[in-house]
Amino acid sequence: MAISDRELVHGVRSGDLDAFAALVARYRDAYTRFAVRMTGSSLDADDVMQSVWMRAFRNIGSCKNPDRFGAWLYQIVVNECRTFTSRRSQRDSRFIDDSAETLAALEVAEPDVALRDEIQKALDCLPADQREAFVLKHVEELSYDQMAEITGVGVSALKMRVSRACERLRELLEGVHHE
Amino acid sequence: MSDETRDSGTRDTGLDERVVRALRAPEILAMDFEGRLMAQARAEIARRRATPVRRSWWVTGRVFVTSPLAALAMAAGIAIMAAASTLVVAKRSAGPLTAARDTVEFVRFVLVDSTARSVSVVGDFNGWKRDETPLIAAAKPGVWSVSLPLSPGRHEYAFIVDGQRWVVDPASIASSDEFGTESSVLLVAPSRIGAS
Repeated sequence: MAISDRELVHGVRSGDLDAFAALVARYRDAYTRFAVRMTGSSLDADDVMQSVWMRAFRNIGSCKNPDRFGAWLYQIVVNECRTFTSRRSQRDSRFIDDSAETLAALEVAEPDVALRDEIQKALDCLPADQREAFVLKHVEELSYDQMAEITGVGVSALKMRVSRACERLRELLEGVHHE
Repeated sequence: MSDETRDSGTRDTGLDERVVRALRAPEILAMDFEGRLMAQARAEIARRRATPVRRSWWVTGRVFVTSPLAALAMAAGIAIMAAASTLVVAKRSAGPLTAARDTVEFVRFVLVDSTARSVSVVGDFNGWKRDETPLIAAAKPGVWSVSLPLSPGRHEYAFIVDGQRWVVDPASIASSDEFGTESSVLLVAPSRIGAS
């Protein structure tokens, strides 16, 4: 039987690195898609997720309900992505360069990369709060109650953000996705 | 997950199916992600565990609050004390070693570590910058010290040995920050020796 999150969290609290490695293996890619969509770059998402896990490692003692480690970790992911987004203006030039390099590297092997790039650009045009709500709702497919728990934002406000995000994306992507 | 989340993204968003599919395409982290992360975690644990090792008799730190003249006298005395194989003892009640200043007290940080190649002190008073305040090697090998003007009040500090080893003063009260990193607490009071 698999070791529970609770047991692993307690193991990490007592300094067991193997327990931490097991948690990392269990949740390794669970929130990567969210981080990539929010940051717009696999490289930046990698940085964000490293920060996420180290923050979780250092603050594992504040995980009040170890059975729900995944939800607790999700909150850290959302917060780290918010921090990244708030600093993004200072990193715009690098961000664009990274995207260009990534695009060039993938273009040969990935025929849909141009479409994905256009979609990501459209996502990047959304205000951060709308992008976050949209990705949680329509990419990660969470319920509004789950979103409210993770983000700390009320359901009504989240619905409004998602609605506006959808509307804006439709405008931005009009005609782009037709081959 | 509620039923509403099972709805097709296309129907909910009004976006083309290809767009929704592209958005939901899985993403994976780099192959070396775990390796880099675990290296960070191991370094974190090593830093936390470094303190007990440094409590050995030959690695001990002490803090003195003293006037500039007394500091000079102490600097000369350090070599003698170390040569006599006597641990440096904090002069917690040695009134003559202290002198009040208008707004600062001179604090001498001393670390005895025979294996150290370089030592610096980091604390709230220098922004925790590792290269800001190096300790000077005394004539006796293994004895490092520096005097700093500090304002009266509570300060937190630690020694950095060889540019990377985090040494908490075993003679002082340890304080942990939100991430569990320990540092030493120094109370500077005018005309009083304040290491706690």
